[in-house]
Amino acid sequence: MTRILIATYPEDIHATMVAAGLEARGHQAVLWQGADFPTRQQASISIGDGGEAAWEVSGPRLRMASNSAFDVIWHRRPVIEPVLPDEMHPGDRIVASRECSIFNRNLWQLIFPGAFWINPLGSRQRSNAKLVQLQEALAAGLTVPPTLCSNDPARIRAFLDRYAGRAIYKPFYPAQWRKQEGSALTFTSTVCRNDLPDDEVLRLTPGIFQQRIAKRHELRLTYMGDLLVAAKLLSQEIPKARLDWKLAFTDLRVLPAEVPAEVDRACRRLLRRLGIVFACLDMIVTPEGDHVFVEVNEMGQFLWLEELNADLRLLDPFCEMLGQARRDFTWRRSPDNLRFADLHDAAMAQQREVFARVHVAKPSYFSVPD
Amino acid sequence: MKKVDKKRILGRRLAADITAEQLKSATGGSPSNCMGDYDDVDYISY
Repeated sequence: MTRILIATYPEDIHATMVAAGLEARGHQAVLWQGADFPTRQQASISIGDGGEAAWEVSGPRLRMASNSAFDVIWHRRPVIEPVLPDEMHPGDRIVASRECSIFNRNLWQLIFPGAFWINPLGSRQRSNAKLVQLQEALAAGLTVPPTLCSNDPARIRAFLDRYAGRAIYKPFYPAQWRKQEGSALTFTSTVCRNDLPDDEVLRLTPGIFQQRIAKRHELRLTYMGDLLVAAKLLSQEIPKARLDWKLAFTDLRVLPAEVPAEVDRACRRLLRRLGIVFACLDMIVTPEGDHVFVEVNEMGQFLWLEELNADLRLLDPFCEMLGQARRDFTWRRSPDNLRFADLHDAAMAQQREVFARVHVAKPSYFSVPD
Repeated sequence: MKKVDKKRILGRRLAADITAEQLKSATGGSPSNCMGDYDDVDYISY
């Protein structure tokens, strides 16, 4: 039996379903609901009594300490920024929030350094830096779009002139403005000079500007250790999704895909350079058949692929990687595989009927007033 | 593009308007979708 610690929040269906899958396979999965700290969860780190630092964390459905034995840490969605009571003094709230975050970051540095981490703590920040990704993708032998990241109005205009009519903009991080009705969401967009705000506003927010790459289709490459699950996204079938497949929502057709060996090798080199064992890579396949790297989602969503196309297997191999606690795990497709469709409803019910009652909901990272 | 004040940042000027209904139907009610971490929508991803 393997013991797996999963950093998560109550609404994270990936964590809930994988935990259920692991339990079904005879492993022990413990969900560390990070938003419970500090209001429903307490944590301590003791140093100076001889030996190594001793730590402990306890709260609803959680009790663990430095002498607990975990073989695997799935660093899925740790909650670092705390959820504090609304009635707190506003100044105290800022200080308490900062102290909680720093404490959390310290704690994560101390826990289970000998376990199999998905992904290693030290690699996470670097892997999520989009510009590092592009630089490392180039070094790994992949093709990347010509890119400018800047808040310099003159440089931005020069880039847009150079790629007039074929430039795109995207943010570093998703944003969602709450409107009176509905939301305004950032997706990859075409951009030209006329779209730019006034210079004094433009310089306040750096952005990512790239040459638009023509698409035949797109790929979502999910690397689970040494296993690649490749999916073809037929985004060009849906006009509104041609620039950004997320706008296709559930209309997106997803098919199993083959990836040229040299592209696969380059992607594996990229993951090694980034020091990670799991990632979802986005890639464009051009009308000429060239493969162009878009980005690495270091802890991206992956079960949606199996949800949209039941021929794809994601849940079972991922549980196998965690259960075997190694990147070179063995897995084979079989009728006995754990299936998304079989576990989904029970997992949703658990979140709705248990987690929502017992745990603190995750704070919103994206949503802001319009 | 739609008219958004020149005093708003570029990301907001280019942001796509999505109704709550679109967001719900976007995922068939499942948060495993690629958009899984947005608010309300309950679910969109990265």
